[in-house]
Amino acid sequence: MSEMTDTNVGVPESTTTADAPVLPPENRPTQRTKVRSATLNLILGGLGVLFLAPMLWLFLASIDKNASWGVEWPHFSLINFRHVLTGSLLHSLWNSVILAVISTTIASVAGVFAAYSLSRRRIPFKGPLLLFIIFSSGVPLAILVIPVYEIFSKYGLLSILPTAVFLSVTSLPFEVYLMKNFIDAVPTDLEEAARMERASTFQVLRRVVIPLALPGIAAAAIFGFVNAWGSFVVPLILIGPQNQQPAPIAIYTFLTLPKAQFGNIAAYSLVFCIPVFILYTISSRLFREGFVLGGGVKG
Amino acid sequence: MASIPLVDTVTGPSTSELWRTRRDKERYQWSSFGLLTPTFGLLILLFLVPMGFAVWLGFTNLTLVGPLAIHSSFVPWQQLTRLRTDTSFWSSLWVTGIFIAGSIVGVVIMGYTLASLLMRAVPWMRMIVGGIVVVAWMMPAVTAGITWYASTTGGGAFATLLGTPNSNFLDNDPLLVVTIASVWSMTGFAMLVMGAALRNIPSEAIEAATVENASTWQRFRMIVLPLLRPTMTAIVLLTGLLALANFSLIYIMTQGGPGNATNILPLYSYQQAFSFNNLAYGALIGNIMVVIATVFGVFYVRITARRL
Amino acid sequence: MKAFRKGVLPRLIAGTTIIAMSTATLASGGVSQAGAASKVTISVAYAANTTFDTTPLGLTWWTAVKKQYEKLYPNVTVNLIAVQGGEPDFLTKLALDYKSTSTAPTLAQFPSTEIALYQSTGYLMSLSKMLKGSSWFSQYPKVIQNEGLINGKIYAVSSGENNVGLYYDKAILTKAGIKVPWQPTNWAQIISAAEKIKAAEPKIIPLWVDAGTSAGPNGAGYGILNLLAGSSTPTIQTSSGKMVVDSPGLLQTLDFFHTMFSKGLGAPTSQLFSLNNAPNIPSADFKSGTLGIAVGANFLAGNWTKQVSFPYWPQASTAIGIAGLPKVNGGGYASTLSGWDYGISSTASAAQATAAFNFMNVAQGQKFLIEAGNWAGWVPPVQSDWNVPLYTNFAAPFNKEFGELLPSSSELPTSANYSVWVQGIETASGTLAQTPSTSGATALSQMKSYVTNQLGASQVTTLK
Repeated sequence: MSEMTDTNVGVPESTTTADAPVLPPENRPTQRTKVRSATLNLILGGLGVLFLAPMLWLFLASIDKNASWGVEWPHFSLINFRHVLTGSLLHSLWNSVILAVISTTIASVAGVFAAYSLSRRRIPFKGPLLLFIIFSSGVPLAILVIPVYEIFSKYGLLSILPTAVFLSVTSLPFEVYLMKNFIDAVPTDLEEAARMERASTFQVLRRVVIPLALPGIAAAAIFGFVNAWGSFVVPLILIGPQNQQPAPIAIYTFLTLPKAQFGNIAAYSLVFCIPVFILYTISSRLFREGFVLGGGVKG
Repeated sequence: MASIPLVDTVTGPSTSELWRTRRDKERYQWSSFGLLTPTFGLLILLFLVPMGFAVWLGFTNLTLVGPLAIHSSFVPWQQLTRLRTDTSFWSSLWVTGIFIAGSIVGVVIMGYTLASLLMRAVPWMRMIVGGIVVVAWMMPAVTAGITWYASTTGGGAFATLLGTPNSNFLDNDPLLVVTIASVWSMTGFAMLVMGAALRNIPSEAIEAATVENASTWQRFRMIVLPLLRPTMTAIVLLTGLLALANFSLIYIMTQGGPGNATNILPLYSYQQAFSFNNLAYGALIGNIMVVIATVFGVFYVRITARRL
Repeated sequence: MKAFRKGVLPRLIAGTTIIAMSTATLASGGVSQAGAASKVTISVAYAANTTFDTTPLGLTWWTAVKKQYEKLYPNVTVNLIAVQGGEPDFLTKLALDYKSTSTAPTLAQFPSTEIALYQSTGYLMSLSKMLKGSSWFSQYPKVIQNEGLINGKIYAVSSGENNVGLYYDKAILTKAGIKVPWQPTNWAQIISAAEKIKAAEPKIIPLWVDAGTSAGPNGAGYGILNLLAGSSTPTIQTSSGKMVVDSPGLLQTLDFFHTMFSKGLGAPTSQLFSLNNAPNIPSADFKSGTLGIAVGANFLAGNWTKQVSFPYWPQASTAIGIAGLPKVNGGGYASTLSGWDYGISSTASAAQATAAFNFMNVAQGQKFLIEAGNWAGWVPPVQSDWNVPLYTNFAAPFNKEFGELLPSSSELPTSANYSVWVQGIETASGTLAQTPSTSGATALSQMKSYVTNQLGASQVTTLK
């Protein structure tokens, strides 16, 4: 973990205990800096608790046999998970996977090409194109769904695969925007060197640009995945057959049942979040090292 | 970038060939359009076309069912008048404005606070708290909505934790609770982005300021803020757009209620289109949202024009 | 479920088959006989999550009907379309499906409030001719027969109805000094009973009446609109199609709510505005002994049965009593009536229409009809069914009593403007629930300005 020096007076943070240097007297942590540091950590901890609080119900109710909306000490049981990981609910999760993976792949591939092109090449109408991209990010989904439904129903496309294509379009502008910013930050010298070796565009992309901009591309791809994974209104209207519906529809159906099966809702929601958690863990390294959106980072 | 052909001194290149190989003016790389085709092809087909249809639709009087569903007419003036005189629309606009402003302010403040605190925290604290906040961001809107509903409804998590089982935070202050939930779900991203940007502030600048006995506030105002401005602008824009488009979170929590208290524009347009059967009017409201989003976008482009 | 009386079951099946086949013969006009016709395909669309009390129960019932039908008509293929989502989503989906011939379902089951809408768009086929020979339709009470009557023709037939009455907890009322069995004769008596309950048991909810917008348009039908139906001017929509936004009846109803909430007699908003289908909450409240009186629909009774278990409460039959909801100043009972109806698409071919009608016949056979009623919380529209043990033994004794209350119900209007009007009145009731100090008149004027603003002054009217 690369670290900035602490902005307090002259106290370098040691990164590992193994090579903690012996500090000269004037650089040892004073009482004042210790208290300051403790306060900061305490405030941070407090904020962390605040952020955790809403999630408490999710965890506690999912392992509670007799859950309700409240936070109470659970009657420990894994039966809720057993309920939700069977049959059609499990199938809904699988549908979510299909939807998200296909959508992300399409969006990321198309996005990388577009982002690279917009970043490196001089293209006519680049300004308006970029404006168009930003503009499309803000369009409300619920309005687009109706015309798209009419088109899809006319050609018999009301199923999971065409819906995945549409979902890719909904995250495409954002992804292009994110990726372009990252590619902007990648120095061009390596590319020029590759070109002098007569590398084709694809090769340049594959060997130079993508590896260097990988954190940004991964960030954008993850954004697209999370977008498609959590999409609700779109699959509700665009996917016809019941056995192709993804998980959010199942959760919503849970909610509208007269008898709220609180434990099952919590368990299923939790399970639904897990792939997203895993993705975060995998990419957390990329996030920390490479997140350079915005100012002052060219080169 | 084409290589320069050897000039044949005997026959010489034609004038057009010479023009083509000019190096003093950068040419447009039309071949790049190939790279752009997949993206823009998709966008045109599944975005522009439906978008255009929605624009046209907003000026008709098409309904979902009923006689007007079959024989609708193009009546732009009538629809606009309806928009002008619709008190629910204006109140929805107001509520949306508050929601967006609240979300932006919350996200920027929380994001910055967390980012700067995280930098100076002990490693394990950094991991845990950072992890929690990012998890909150990554949570799908449906789950976040359920979680917040469970927490703030009567008898829910917050109520039981605070020992007042009957207090119904959600229904008593719906807009506030919904805005807090929105901030909660968007802060993670801002925290990460600002954290990276903060890390890129050269330490020498900070040290120099410290040596000059600048206070924390002065350090913030003079050094951190200016260097952070592009990032902050980006976050303001993105948060604003996401808040404007927010649907599932609020839909799950309050469905726009109680009354019209949280009926932000996306929900109101959905209500008009599907609950009240006025498909065209709902589309018109949606088009207004697009206009608002465009205004955001234009501002952003203005501010960062040179970087394009 | 209690056992059938011996001999009923074979007779049921025989009866159903006879009805089905004879109707098929009559309706088909000799064009296609079962077994001799070419292959026909029909699609049947129904709401998967919001008709039957649980989605699996719905699937069981529809699959059973389909199986029975395919046994009788092997040349017909039936595609069951289970439309997902809450009721608003189902209605949206159905409306979109009807738009094109290729997706329009041959047979669909939808709420009665949508009939006029679909008919005016031309989606529905007239069923009058086909119903002429049907034995079950003639047994519907007139008010239910007329549910689908538009311009002299029948466009939809009911498969089950919801009506509303008063549920009360006998023990709690006795403790409050109210004589049981209880039958109030006017609204004032309901309020005074609630006050007595509050005095005797301050910690429980004295009176439950649905309020707020959370339950969607149905919530009003199970709550406030029943009071309006018993007021001095119950009209919601005039014969010319205008929505009533100001009338003595509306004021009386909203004043009732104001009284109820300002005296602390109503339910808390945390329950009324609940996400999970607020109209069903009284079943749980009654079981836990925290509710005295409820204005509730007939399906609340079904919640206490084992099949539904929302929650399972076998003691309900002795612990809870039913009373009719009286009119404001006495003189009878009042209730709204709304149901789920079958309609056949106007784009169906003659063979398809016949096949769809036959399917309807099978579904309307006594056993299936009553089962649907039991499991979806409906009163079967066939009058004689109200005394059949399959019905009365389910959720006894409530089913029978609600059947008896059915004739005093009145239909809810059906039009596009109705949904806006309902939103208006539900917002008003929600305001009264949340801010009890609001007067009935203030809430009414808010509703009036909202509905007038949305629909335009030419679509609304005031009654004196």
